[in-house]
Amino acid sequence: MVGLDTGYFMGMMLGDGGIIGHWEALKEKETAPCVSVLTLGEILYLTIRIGKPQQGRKMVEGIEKTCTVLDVNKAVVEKAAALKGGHGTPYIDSIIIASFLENGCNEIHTKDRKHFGAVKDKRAKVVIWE
Amino acid sequence: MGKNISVYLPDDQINFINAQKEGASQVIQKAIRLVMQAGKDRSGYDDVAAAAAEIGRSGGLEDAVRSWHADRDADRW
Repeated sequence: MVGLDTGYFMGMMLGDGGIIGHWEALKEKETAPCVSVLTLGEILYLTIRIGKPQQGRKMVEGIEKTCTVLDVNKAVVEKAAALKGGHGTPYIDSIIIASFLENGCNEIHTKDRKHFGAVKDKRAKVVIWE
Repeated sequence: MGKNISVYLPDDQINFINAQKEGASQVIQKAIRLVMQAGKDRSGYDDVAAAAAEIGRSGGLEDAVRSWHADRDADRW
């Protein structure tokens, strides 16, 4: 399964052709991609900030239609605490990464090399869109 | 990728698998794919792309994204 970080959607908003093409290709895949519920909040916050709350809500509704939205639970926060403690990964990033790993994502897409680059999990390949 | 695993299945499910033309792995993989797709609507892909493009036309997006990055980095916890 593929996990998509917030930066992936920010890249889409900024018109990153690689990410837009990848998103189109995901449509043909048999398995729904995974997105953390925190990412939905970040998209809503960002679009409120730039005065486009309705478009943000539309984007979030589309994500909910197509993706598996991952909630935060005890197993996720335990793993996130270990990631933050071990690598100094910011807590939001830690929770998002832990959500992907706990839900069996074997491919994580992000634009954040600084924090996601530290993921050392043999089960998951991190794809950095730069 | 992938590996063989051993799982328990009740008799009725084993009988169902044995009655299919495909092998057991194919039948189980197909069933799991259906579960993973349950309730998903592919039209959402176009909704997301359209909304992202519309948001992208807004002024101030790059500054807002930069600020969001800085907020994540500042992680005070």
